[in-house]
Amino acid sequence: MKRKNVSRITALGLCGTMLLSGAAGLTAHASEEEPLSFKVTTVYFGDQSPENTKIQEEWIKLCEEKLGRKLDITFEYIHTGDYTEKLQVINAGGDLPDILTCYTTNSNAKLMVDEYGSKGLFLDLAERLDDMPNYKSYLDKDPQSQSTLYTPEGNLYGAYNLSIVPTGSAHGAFSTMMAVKNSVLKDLDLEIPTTLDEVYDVAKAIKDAGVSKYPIVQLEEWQNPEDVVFNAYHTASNRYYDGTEFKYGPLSDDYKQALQYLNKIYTEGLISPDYFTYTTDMGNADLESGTACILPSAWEGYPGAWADERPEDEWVAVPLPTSDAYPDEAWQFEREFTSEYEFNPRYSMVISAQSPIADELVKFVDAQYDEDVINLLNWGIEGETYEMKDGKKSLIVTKDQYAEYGMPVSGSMRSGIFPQPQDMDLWRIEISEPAPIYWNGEIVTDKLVAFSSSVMNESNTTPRDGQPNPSISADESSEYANIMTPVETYAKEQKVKFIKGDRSFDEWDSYIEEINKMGDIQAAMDIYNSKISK
Amino acid sequence: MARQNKKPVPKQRSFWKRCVKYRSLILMSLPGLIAVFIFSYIPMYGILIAFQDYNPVEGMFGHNNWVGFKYFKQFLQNPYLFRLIRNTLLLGIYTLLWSFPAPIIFALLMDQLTNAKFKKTVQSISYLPYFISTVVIVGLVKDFCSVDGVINGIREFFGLNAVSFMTDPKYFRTIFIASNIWQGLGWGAIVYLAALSGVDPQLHEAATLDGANRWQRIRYVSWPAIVPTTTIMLILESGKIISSDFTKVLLLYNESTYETADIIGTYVYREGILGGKFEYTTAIGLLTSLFSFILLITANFLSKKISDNSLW
Repeated sequence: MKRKNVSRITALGLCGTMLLSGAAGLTAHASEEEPLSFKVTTVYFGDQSPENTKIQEEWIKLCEEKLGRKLDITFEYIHTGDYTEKLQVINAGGDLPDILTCYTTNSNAKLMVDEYGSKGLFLDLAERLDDMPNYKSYLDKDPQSQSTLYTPEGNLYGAYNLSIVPTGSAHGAFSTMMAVKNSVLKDLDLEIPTTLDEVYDVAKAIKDAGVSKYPIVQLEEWQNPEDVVFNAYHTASNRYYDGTEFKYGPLSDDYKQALQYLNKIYTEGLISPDYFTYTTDMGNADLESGTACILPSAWEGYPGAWADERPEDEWVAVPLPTSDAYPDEAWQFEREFTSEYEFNPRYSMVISAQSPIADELVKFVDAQYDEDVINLLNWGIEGETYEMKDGKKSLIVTKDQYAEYGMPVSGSMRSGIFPQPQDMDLWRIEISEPAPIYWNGEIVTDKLVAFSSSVMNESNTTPRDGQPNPSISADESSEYANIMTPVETYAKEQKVKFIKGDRSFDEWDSYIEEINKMGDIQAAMDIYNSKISK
Repeated sequence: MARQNKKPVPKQRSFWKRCVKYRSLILMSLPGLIAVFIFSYIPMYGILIAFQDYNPVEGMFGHNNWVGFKYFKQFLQNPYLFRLIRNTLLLGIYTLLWSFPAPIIFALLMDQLTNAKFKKTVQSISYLPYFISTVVIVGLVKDFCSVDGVINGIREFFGLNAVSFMTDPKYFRTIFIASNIWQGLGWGAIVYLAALSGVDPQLHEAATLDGANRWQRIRYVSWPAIVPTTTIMLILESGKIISSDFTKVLLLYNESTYETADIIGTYVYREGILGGKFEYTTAIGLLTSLFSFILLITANFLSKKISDNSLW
């Protein structure tokens, strides 16, 4: 019996050992073969998400290659129009996907990233940079990264939008220029306007001639003509940097003069009485119907695109007009980027701190900053979407094909996860069309970056060029919002009243008194100014 | 003691008996009760964050900082507090004054119609706007009121200047209430028409024989028939004074009309959903709910005193 028992125990032990070793082998095998599964919530911009496009498929393959592991990514795509709301709800609910795009249309998402990051919702990447060699190398290359991306406490909660700027980045102020319909001006024998007074004279002449009821038009919601007028008077409708410090525009005399000008064009019917509520659809309807003759603020790429799409209109780009208050100091050009590698704190992707595979996700996010991945998500596939000639890349697909391939440069079908690192030679130079630009009394046809770089000088550069973009803490952000939310609401309402003529400019002093009562504006500005003086 | 213990037993039996007797009615109301419980009662614990520096990672019952009445004080110190309350109340009161009687008058008029075909056609047409989504209704209103819209077209025909109705605060309430009446007139009248259909035609005949004219028949026959319904509806509507149709306001308003259009609901949306201040806006929500509750109780109490009709 004893012998039997011993042999039984030995046999059982051997079986057990074999099973365990087999299971261990199976486990090791499974972890290599088992795909890395995770969920991504990100934004899409067009009519549909980039799923099943060629670049998206190639991107997944490339990421698998870089990580040495199969990927099983479940995407939740939310349209840009809904993203701001959904993002707030996702964060406040605390039920996060493994990777989340932080992007808002109405404010700087960086403040939100820092707020929820500090509450422990997002992984602090500052502690993981040793596992992120690609991301870290770019952070080191951007001289502003420390002040703009990290919190004052030294945390880094997002993988931010990277712009690689090999050649240069000068462009129009606010990415806009004024656009005028030269065919109408020629018919009426009018000169192309370059100052606000000339804009008024030309608009009045067009209206008097019966060509257009409201010749000045706001084309898109983000291109408010008011901003162009404030810019010409060296002010803004909110906080702005004047070259030395942050100021609040609606308190200044420059702002008052700008409002007086806007009041003049409004009350004389040179702009639609509805323009306060103008939508992109309404602006485009005016463009199609021929009502639009002067677009004080148009995306700088439009005149070039319209040269092909609507040549009969002869749209011409004009650097932003100057005012009589600052005739020799035009705020017309600025560099979009001040260094070769620059991060934009407005857009980022974050990793959920609760994700059980956070370590792997850190590597995955780092792979987005890999040179090959950046190349794929910008230029696409060599021989198919671009070619190399004399060491220089150039696209070999037409504009219509960008979206079909899922190339992020299409704007609408952005493969990968937003924000993808951007090669600005592609985004700002390669795909831009030469535009007719009015400069020094003649129309020149040139690509915008090349033109702007050649004419930009001290007398026509805005103070936004290279302005500091300090990072503030969550508490400071809350304090700023508490002061400025009612102030800004009040300023916006009063602005409309002054422009419409519902409030007389004789009441300007009372307005200043009232707005100061809404909150301690200087204390709010000092939150930012204290960061730049450090 | 033993006698005392026996007393509740028949009552319980009677309760269960009644339950069995009315089982069909109970079953019919059950889905509604469950929905109210799930969507209105269970989420109520969320009001806790009005007193917390809420941390989504910790959840509502984790280690959050309790901040007491911080957010309530913040709202009470808001420079726009008075304007928000004024706009909310005025919009609610004007809605009650104009939108509430309109379906009653419409139902009384419809009741007087004798041509059945015409009556049905008018009724169907009046219901239609109710089934159009608020977004579409607001889109139509914006088109009608735009500088190039129908209303300005008529103004210009008579030699008047175009007016930007949508950007002028003084027109906001009129546009809001007029579009409310247009959308809700037919639908709102259904409940009153149902009450009127219960009036015995012999009463009308008798009144006619007694020499009552049409106005007197409405006044002394039709109107008393809908008074109980009207009272109940009025009590229910009075609780909504402070919670105007926020979706519609949000779609109709813009920065230039904040002066009359910005109500507590839209302010909460801007600060809470867009600005991410969920704790602050929960506190505001709690305050307004409390105020609505008081309004409802008061309306019910007054109605009981004045007309003997009340919810409870």
